[in-house]
Amino acid sequence: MVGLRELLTVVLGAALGVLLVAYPQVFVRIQTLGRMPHDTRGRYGEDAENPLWVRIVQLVGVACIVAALYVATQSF
Amino acid sequence: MRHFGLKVRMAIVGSILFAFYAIAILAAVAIWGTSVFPLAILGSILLVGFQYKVGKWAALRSVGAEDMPENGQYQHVHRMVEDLSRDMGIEKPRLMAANMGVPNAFAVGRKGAGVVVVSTELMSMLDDDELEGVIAHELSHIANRDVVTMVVGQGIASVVGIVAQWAVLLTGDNELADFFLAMIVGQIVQMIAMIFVLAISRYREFVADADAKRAIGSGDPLARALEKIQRGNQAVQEDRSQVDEQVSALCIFGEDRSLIQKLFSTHPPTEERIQRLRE
Repeated sequence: MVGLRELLTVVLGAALGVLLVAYPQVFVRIQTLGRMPHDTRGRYGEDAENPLWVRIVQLVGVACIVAALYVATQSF
Repeated sequence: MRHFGLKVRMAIVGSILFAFYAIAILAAVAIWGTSVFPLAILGSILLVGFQYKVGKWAALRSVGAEDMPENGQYQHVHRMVEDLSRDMGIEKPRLMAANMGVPNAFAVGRKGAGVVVVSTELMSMLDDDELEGVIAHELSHIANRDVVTMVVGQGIASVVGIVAQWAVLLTGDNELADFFLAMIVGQIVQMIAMIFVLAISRYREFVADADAKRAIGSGDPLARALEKIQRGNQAVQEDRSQVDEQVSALCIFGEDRSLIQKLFSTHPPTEERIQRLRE
């Protein structure tokens, strides 16, 4: 029987992965607001994140989806 | 009462964030015992202080900001800021200029130790009254302690995320899946806490606009500045669109303001700001 933690790992891992791939700017903004300069790249009054960080976050998102699939294949 | 709406919203969001923080600290005490309590409080304060200091330093360094000389081409900007600071009841902040490649301006620091950075592109694009509107908006961020508020909000969200992560990790079987789940839960909890911080960030932009409107006697100059910046310099837009295309190509849902984009944006839509400035 599949445990609750394994189920949560697969569902939340895949959901976070999709979010990171689809909306990488959101994650960069959340991590940088109040910590690092996040609004110094775009035009005034706009959110603009570092394109390099955006791509790295998308790769992390793909890694999350792969990890969720790996846990799924091991658990189900 | 000045900024009544902001105070009500801050009370609500502050209570929600405090509840998140209290639950996180209680969870930490439940996991590690009562001896962790002073350490958790001290750690939280140090984290916020560290983020504030590093954030300010990194913001100035990332754009290569340099002090605006008091005399010469920036003399009128200094006089403008002196007058606005006096009207707003704050010390004149340090003024810096930077070649950012785009028209932009931002404020860092706190009341008494604030810094306003204005891009050379913005200064060359705007008329004096429009620049005054933008600077008044940035001074309002310093007067209302917006930068400090965001740092504290981020600090609380980080602490809550870290505790959630460790709670999941320590209640698991130390398997690979537990490490992964702990990381995911930490990020999701931090995201949820940040929704409230970002909501207050967007409202603070409206408050800063209203303060700027009051300080210069009209909302029209700042509204015109926002319109000009929105239209943008054609050359800058072309340069930027190339970067955007590269990024958008990797984004499934593009650049449109979907619900998630709206929920996690730091600024309200520019059109809405312009409309409120002209009301």
